[in-house]
Amino acid sequence: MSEEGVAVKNRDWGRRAFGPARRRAIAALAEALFSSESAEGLAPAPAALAERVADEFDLLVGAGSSDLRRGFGLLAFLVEWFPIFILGELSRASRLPLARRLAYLHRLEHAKIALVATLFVAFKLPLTMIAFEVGAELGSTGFDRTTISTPRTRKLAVVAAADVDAIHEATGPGRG
Amino acid sequence: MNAGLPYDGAVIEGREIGRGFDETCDVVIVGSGAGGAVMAAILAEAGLRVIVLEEGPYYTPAEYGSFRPTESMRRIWRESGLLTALGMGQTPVIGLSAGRCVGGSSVLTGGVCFRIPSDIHAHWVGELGLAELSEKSLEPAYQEVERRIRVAEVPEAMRSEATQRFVRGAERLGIAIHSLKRNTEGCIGNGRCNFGCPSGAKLSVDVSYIPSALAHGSRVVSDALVERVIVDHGRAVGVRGRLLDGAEGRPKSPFQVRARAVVVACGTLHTPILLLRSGLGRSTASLGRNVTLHPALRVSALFDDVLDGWNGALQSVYSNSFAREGITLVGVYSAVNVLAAALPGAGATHRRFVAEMPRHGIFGAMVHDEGGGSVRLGPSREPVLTYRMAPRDLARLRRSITILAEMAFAGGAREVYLPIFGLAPMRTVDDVQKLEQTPLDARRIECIAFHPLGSARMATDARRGVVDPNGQSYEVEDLYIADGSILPTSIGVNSQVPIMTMATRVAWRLAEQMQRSTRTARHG
Repeated sequence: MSEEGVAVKNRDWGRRAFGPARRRAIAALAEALFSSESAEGLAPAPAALAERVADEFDLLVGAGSSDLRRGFGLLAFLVEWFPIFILGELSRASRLPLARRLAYLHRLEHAKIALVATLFVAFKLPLTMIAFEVGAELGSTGFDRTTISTPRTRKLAVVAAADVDAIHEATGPGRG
Repeated sequence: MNAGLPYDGAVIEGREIGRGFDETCDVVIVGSGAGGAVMAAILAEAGLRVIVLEEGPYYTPAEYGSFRPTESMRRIWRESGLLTALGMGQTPVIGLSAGRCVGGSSVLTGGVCFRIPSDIHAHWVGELGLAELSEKSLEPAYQEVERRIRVAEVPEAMRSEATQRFVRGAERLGIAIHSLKRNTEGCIGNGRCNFGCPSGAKLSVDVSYIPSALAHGSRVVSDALVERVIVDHGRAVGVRGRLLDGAEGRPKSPFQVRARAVVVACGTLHTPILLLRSGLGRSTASLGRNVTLHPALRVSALFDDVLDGWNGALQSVYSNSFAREGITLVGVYSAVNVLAAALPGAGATHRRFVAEMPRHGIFGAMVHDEGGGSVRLGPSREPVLTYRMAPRDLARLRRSITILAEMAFAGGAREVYLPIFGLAPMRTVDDVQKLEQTPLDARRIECIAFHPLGSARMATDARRGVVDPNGQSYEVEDLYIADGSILPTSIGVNSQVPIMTMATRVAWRLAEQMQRSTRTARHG
């Protein structure tokens, strides 16, 4: 069943792209990428969020071709070992303290060499899409429906009910 | 020898047959997207026996409409939505969206419907000698497509408030904005068309054409990877491949379909690959070359009040005011998690930007590009797409960023977020205009593309193209191509209606020809 209650036949092959070590490294990346700050200071993303993001990213890349899996395997290796070049610290990214990991991501994003910045984006885009599509993170966007798949029930602010009826009359009723 | 295919009027899921198959038919079609599905319906309606082979899986509209965006990417997008063109030289890394499911990329469009602009038709006729592709010649095909997919103008009431802000800004700058046309019926403005419509309102080809193909006796097989076109004495006589029914979806059970004609409709990226793997295309220099993408980008802007931009049609307006500069402006507002991913920063900085999402408006632009792309065989079964952006197109891309930012500020935006990695939000028009004059590494531009076209282009002779004006291969008889790859040049507008129109024309010609040859055979 989908989160909208639609019966979905399971056609997922469940293929994975990363081993456990690489998955842990991606979870550590997510922990910093989705960290927050409060009066108490810097807080890592909740473990459940980081693990969910790493797990779904693994499935996402795993569903692609062997080229895609190999490509992201290489990128994951690079992002794990680049602190040596970016921070000058002989440490894997996943073993850096949270504040240093965040500083590392910040420097990757603002790197003078465009391809290094691209390395940051290659992970940030899919990981953020996964993180912010459900739960508290979706709620933090201000999105006012239960899920992204939930059809609108509220009328558009700019559309009067009569206009909506007119639209449906002109174009016919929706299916599904 | 394998048995034949079952038939019960529904899509056959290849992964569930449990064995390979051998079949014969009049026309075998590889691919079920905007080209393949149109061909299948028209040929089946003409009484021909048709088999459609689709590499991707089959999901019903109710199923894919319920997917989260990244579930949709994983299940029905090619390469899980992470497909990119490798930029050569000063070229952005361009993310490409393409479908891999029954219905192909038509399932993932924003529903935008354009005809090919008149000046492009004139260029094809006047400069390329393709008289058959004049606006007048294609008019019946356009009408047929627009009738079947219910093309209609998006009512102003469907514009989101976020789009309206950009529209107001454009009006203040004297930029003309028009309502888009889309292929929807009963759209209520869920704003996530490109991940599958949750209301079943978008008339993608799995909804508008494939049901008719099935009702007229076609068999549509999903999870069927065609690996080779079978050629015998200079004629295409069928295809062979394997069903993706092995462990983890690997190719396993072999199948073969013999046919009087073979239609390849795998799209701009995969059509050249199938031909090359079949040992074809070596006699022409144009196969896999001159690929155009319509590189596109979007600019996000922060306004003072809450807009909830997700309430409205994903795409509702456009402007062709900059058509002479090769730029089309298009309103767009995708799913919030996608937009969140495009905001700058990490950690708390990024979270602060995300929290302001209800006050964000988005607008996009795409560039009518020169053909700088090439499709080549890769190490796996996926092609390698490289793209070298022409300096002219890079300048157009940067110009479009400035135009969109100017529209946002004129519409009342407080800050504008440009699609440039690592760049802080812009606060004034001056800053944006200065940026356009500043040298910039093109690889910092966040670029996307939705319309790869032209890798097996149509031409008047074999030296300049892969297929003739009827879509028939110059190299092999009875082999046709009917997808975006045959478009002779970039068109500068969304490509689903143009592809469907070209496929309609190819299908009409092929149906006439096959019916004629059947009659001739019957009457001696």
